[in-house]
Amino acid sequence: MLVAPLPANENERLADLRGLGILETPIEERFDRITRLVCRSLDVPISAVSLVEDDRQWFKSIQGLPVCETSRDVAFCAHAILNDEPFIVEDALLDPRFAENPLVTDDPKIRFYAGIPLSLGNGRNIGTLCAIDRVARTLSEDDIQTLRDLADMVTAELNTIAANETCVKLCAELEQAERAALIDPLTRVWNRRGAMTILEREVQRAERGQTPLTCALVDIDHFKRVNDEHGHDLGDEVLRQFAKTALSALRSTDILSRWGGEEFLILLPECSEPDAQIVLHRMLKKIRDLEFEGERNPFRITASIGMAAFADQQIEPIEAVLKEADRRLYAAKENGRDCIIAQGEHDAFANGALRAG
Amino acid sequence: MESQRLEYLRLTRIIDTPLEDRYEKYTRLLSRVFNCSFAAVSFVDQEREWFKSVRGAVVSEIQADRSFAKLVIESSDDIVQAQNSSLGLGHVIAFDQPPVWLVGTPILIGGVHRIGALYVGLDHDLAAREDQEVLKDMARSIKRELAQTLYHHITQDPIREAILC
Repeated sequence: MLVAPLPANENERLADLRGLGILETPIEERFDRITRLVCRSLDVPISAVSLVEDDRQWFKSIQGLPVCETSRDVAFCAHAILNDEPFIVEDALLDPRFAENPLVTDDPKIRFYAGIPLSLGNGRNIGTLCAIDRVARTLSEDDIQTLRDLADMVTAELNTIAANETCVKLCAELEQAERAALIDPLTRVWNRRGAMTILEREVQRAERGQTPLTCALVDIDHFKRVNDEHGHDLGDEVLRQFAKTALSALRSTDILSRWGGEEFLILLPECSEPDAQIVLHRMLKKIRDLEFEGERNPFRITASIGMAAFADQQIEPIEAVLKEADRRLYAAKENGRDCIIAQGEHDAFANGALRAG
Repeated sequence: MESQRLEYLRLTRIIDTPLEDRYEKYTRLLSRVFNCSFAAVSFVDQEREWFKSVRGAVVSEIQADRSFAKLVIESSDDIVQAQNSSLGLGHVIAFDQPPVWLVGTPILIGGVHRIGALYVGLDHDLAAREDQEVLKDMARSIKRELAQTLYHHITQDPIREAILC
């Protein structure tokens, strides 16, 4: 195996990358949908937005593998960033640089790799958009153009900041390690501490701007059963898929966080309760549509939601609102699960009138 | 609602802009993913459907009342499908290969305002949910392209954020 040499502009390149403030930030739908498109349009099982740091590659988005980083020594992307052209390895077993690479000889058993270098427009490559397969392949000119187009979409996203201002500011203020401490390593969304930090700021912002702010506690139904019947690995996969699917249904300004166990907190800034219900029903539908390959048989999941709003005029203490959301989540469970309970509804709709269709 | 939609559309300053590869790539990608004869990114103002990017036809704008994008905009569905035989688009668009079905999704800004449509011409309808998701994913990315431009000429954060959500 050959470890990739450092690019001549390594220091400047790393400064570009760190300046983006993107390392150790949560997964974001705007990147996930591009890696999904790579898998779909090139028919590959694995795709990633890989950012190459001094000793590792960190995946801002990855489809097909449950990892968020690997060492730089084994990274195909470390080779790909050495040039500005697409870097293609048609069969890793036939390439002396990669034949002995542990990513090739062991799981995930990479045979094919294609990476388009990503730069911020100055020619310094900070990472790649890559497509990976477990069988040897060749790419046509059209395939390469497709991957280039998708890489352009990644660059556009890197140059445009995320839509939630609070998150952008928070990410910019924190050092990388501080950010990492606010992110849940399994699902790669904000953890409870991260959520509380953002919530405090969003409450202040709602107060200043006199805008609505709604929060929702979401709990995956019968999650214990998933773990018991299908094992913890699949349980983890359910949590990961839940997070990604929820993000794809939420607005880009909404915040998803893992509140603990199988419970998630969603913040919907500038969103009244009725509007939030529309968004959350859309999310529940997407969750219901997910299918998992179980031990013996495929299975599906549902989730229950308790919603509470911070009133426009007078912002209630955070604890009180969260407690209310928690109470309604419990009511949703009582109500038969797979439904949303909002203000004033946990009596009136206790008969199931609000059950999600 | 319609006046707000038109105001948002105006804020994007997309209509009557030159050809840009960053929009071309969406129609390229669509023809690649769906192997379709026609793909378009278009925006609809009071009178017309204006095409930002087209593949598989030569057209720059048509009257809104004859347009498929208008149907997408007036619908409340995420995916709108119609047969070309009922639309008669062949009279207003010179297709390389007239499609049997048109399948589109709205380009949404401000959460609810459908300012344009992303659509493809196919010889079948688009039933698979994954395929519909691809179309919707691309429409969301187009909104991000619009956002990139918006950042240059809108400085008030609340407006930017309202448009982007």
